[in-house]
Amino acid sequence: MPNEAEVRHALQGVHDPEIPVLSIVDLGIVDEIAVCDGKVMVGLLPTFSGCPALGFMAEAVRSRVAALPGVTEVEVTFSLDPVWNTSRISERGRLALQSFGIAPPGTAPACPYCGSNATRVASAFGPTRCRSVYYCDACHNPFEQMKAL
Amino acid sequence: MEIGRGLDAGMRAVLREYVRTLADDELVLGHRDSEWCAFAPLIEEDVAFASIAQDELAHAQLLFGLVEALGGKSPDVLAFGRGPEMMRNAVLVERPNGDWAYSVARHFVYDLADDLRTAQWLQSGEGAFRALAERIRREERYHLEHGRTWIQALASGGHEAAMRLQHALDRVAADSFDLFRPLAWEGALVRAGILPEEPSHLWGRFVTRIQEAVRPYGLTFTPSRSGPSGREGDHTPELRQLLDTMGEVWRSDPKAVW
Repeated sequence: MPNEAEVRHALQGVHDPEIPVLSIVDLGIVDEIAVCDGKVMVGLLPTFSGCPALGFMAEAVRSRVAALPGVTEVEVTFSLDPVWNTSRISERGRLALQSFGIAPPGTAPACPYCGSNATRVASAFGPTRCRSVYYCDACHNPFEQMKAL
Repeated sequence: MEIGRGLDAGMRAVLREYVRTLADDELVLGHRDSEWCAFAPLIEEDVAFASIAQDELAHAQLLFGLVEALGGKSPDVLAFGRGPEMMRNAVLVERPNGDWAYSVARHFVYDLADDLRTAQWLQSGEGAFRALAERIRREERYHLEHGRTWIQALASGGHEAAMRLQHALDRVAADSFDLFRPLAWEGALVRAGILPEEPSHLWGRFVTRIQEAVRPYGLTFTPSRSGPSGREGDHTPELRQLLDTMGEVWRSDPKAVW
């Protein structure tokens, strides 16, 4: 039967389906984990309330944890206590976003391609609920930033 | 989400009614927002209104979840299974989208009303409202910013844009009292410690905030206290059309699992 740390380690292998380089642990949505007689309970914190990826992530958590030796039952719950916000993203998560071409949340992003600070917001509303669209005036690339929440 | 612990059946019914009025506003306006997708004047605005729709519908879903937790029907049945006479949304949000200026003005005015309403939740004795306020208000900041940007753009966009915006504000003003209409059960929510004051008491502050926001552009907002009472089930024929469209797929097989 796995302990809490082993479950958490396994969840490093579950990724945000819209940002496949970012694990849900680094995204900061894994809250409490409890293990009791082969039953594992995982508490997740929903990100943006309209995010359609939440259901997929819950399902991926379920099958990942169920595959661990000694696990007989998995329960995944969502809770708004505490409320998730973008400061819960780990340093490794911020670097993963950057490498994927998405500037991590914060003020005035540097261009993830050329590093220039000559960037401006093109639209607060991007291709997913959590991203805004920016434009880099130096290298003339559009890029995205995860919205601060 | 847990809500209503220790409340008697009567108080739970009052709370259901309150939450349902707010959820209906979000649901109906969210649907109107979605109608802009592929029709907005800029592709960025197709995406923006679609994103805003997604937020409002998600907020409606969270609120309908509270209604269910208080002993009401499931979110899907509440969203798709009711006729117009059962809907408690303000008439303002069911009006057809009209021109771009009307949609911008309506959303801006609605978002400021929503801001005042959800600010009340921060002081609620119910933990569920405090948690919802924290989540929803962080998302709504982007809506308010979007609205301010467009009010400014239209107000300074030449004669026709400014004229259309003023005309839109006049139409919105005529419907806006419904958002804060005094309702019989409000006092009970305050006495139970769920809200710090009756939502209808926010009316004056609401009007002042809108007026202060549009005055710098030479625009006016002059609301009346008349207009149909959507809060009491008095709706326009356009709401029936909206509900028919929105619930069409669900009604084809209400028991289907998607």
